Amino acid sequence: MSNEPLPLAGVRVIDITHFLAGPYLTRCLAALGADVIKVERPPAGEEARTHPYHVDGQSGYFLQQNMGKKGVCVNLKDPRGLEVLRRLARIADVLVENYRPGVLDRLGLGYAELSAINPGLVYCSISAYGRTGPYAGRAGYGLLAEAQSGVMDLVGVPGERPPVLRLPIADGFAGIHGVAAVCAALVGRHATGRGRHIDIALYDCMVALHEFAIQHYSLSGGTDILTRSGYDLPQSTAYGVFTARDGYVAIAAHMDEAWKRMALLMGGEALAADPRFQDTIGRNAHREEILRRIGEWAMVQPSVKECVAALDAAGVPCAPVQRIDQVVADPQVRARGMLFEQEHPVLGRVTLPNVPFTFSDADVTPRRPAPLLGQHNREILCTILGYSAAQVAEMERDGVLHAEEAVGRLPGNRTAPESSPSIGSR
Amino acid sequence: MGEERGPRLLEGIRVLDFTRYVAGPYLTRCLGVLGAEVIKVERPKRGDEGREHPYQVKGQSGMFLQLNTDKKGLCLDLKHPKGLAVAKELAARSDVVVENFRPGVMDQLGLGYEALREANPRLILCSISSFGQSGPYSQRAGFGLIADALSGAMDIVGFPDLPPPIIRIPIADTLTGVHGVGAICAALFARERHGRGQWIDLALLDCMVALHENALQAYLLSQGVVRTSRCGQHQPSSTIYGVFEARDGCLVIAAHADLAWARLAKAMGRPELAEDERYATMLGRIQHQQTLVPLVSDWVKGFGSIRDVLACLEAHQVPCAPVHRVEEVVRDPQVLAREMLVELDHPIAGRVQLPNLPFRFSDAETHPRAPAPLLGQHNREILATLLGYSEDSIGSLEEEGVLYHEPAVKQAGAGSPLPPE
Repeated sequence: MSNEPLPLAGVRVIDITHFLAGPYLTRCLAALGADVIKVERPPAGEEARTHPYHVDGQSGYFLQQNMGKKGVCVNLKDPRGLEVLRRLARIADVLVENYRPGVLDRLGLGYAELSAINPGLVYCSISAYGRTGPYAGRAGYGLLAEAQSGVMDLVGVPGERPPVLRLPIADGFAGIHGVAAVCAALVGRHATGRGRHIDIALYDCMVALHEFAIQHYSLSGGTDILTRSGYDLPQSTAYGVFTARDGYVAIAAHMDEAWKRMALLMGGEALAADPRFQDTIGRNAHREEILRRIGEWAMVQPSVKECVAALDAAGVPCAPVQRIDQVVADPQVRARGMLFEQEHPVLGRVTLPNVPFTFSDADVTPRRPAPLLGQHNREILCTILGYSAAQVAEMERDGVLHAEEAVGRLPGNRTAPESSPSIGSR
Repeated sequence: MGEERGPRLLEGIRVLDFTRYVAGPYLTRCLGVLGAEVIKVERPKRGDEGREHPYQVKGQSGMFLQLNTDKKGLCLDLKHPKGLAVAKELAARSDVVVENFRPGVMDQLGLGYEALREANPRLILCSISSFGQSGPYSQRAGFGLIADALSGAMDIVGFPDLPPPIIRIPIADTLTGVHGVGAICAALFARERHGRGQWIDLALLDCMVALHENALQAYLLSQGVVRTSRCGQHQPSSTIYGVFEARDGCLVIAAHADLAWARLAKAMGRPELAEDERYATMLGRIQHQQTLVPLVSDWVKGFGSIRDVLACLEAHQVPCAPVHRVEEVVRDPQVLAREMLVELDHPIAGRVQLPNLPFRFSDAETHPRAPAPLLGQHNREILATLLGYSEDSIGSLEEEGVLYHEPAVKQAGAGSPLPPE
């Protein structure tokens, strides 16, 4: 990694997001080099600070999604607080929010108002259903978008109940589509100097995720309806999850060559040459038999580990279904730097998951942990916005600005505002 | 298609696309609708493996049609020296190259980052692989399934007493594709300032690890005490947040926040439950999930139909949604209002309806401009117009098998719809 400037160095982002989709978006922008200022409300801060796992009053959930950002905690219901945000918006390149559509418009912080004072502003709104359409104003969560989009119906065992998807698929997808849209809008701004309003919906992102179900349905004239299929993909035999003696193994033997190797491993030349299984159509037609054979093979191996070793030796793509403790210990996850340590002012050293960007000439390892609530109030107001120390003190006294107690104990933050070379004017 | 909403954001950017299957094609499809000119390079004579995936209409794959809109098709033999020369000429004239070969293959072809950068220092190369360009698994074969399994994603979806089901949606591939769109646009933004390209290395496994918002941080920060695994229909860290069964289908309810829970209690005709000290706080509801969830489940089962449950919940402003089947998704008024389904005229398959992408800008058009290319549909256009090859030299490349096009290209005629220059 060289010391080249990060791709988004010098881009200033105002982040008034909460929970997951928005915070993941701005976390990625921070990792890519942007100066992200996270705005929270007094006295509780962002809702995610209440989400587990908690260590010494700090939320692991919050720490993961907000690293690399600076924090200001300001009351937007006070006119002085609102003015702080308007001043920040005037000098920002990007603003990201995930309130319910209309909430920021009512505060005078909508796209129309802010683009009038800063035409180059890229303003990204994330909501459950988007800013248009009959459901536009509805409250929503990832769970709802996953259910309504048909994604949930595609996971689980036929005839059984669909499980909850214990991964933030809708939020994660909305957040990363937002990163792409914001960066594209920054590129597009070069031509005209104009920003854009981006309208990202969790629901849209889930519909876009279907690579099979919707096109099957529409191209078949509505006759081919996909639903959950249990442990394999019926249109790609054999591609699925199999039970071994001490766990589960995922096997991708759906391509002709991989299937031949799988067949050779299980049943020798005779099975590999069986004319019924030579192509996808044949294998799909005899899916039950193939699944049964692989299942039997897996169960006679001593363990998942030995299943994987045998499949590796035969050249069949496979993987153990890893538990979380195994993921954390995985040498590939470690080698890729997907877990890294950072120093937190209250917790000391913490290990958290990284973002998955790797550039030849830019090191996107996070530069700072998630901010304490109100950690950078003084720095941002005094250094960036030019407020006087007296004005800041008055706003602190009146509760327009707020900082959690631990901020006062930070070295160098008791009296003078922290100075940091990484946040400069563009 | 109506009026253009404004200039496309990546107008003037040329992308050379060597990708196959899902992750790479989704990435370059996004770049295409954002305004880039995407040239998809496929091998003779089968092309992208995605062309073999169902649903098939008149020999055209629905999956391929969906993932390759707004691209031009070039069918070129990279194993032939003349084909490789064409690819190098194109790379020298491109802003972005995207590939998802196994790590090392581009180098073996002479199309590795060092070689490409020497010819074109402004070039951005984006490589997608299962495990990345580095690390002990780098050379292993992989698919989305394998990243799902290794990342722990699979182990946390499903019922505790059953094996983990397959996740029948391409999470790993698509997630990686969109991270690539973000990374490429960030690199394009940086290039405007310093004039140099980048090599971007994206891995399916990395993207899946990054998707965990609870499981990894809880394990790490609890020093291994909290080990998340699959939990069935109800999120143990949020109550009420999960899947419920009505007589004729399933629905989800997200009443984990205090206000929504109070509304749910009222909808159930039992407002006192919200005051009950066991259930009054989020922490209390989580601790008493075993008694609280059955109360809600039984209440849901008391309705005649899923429609009646949803109507009652909506009347009380409790966040909820039906677990839609695919045929219900394509009729959903919100999906239609958001134009999440688009119709395109394909020269062979005819009029097809496909899912759209979720990018919406105030002042930039993102509607697809052209259907996926036939195999080799734009061979002549690209070689003649872009690279200045003569008709004769194109003809001889065709005869030598360096260029190939599927028979339907002639049938479709030269007037097939193309993205405007």
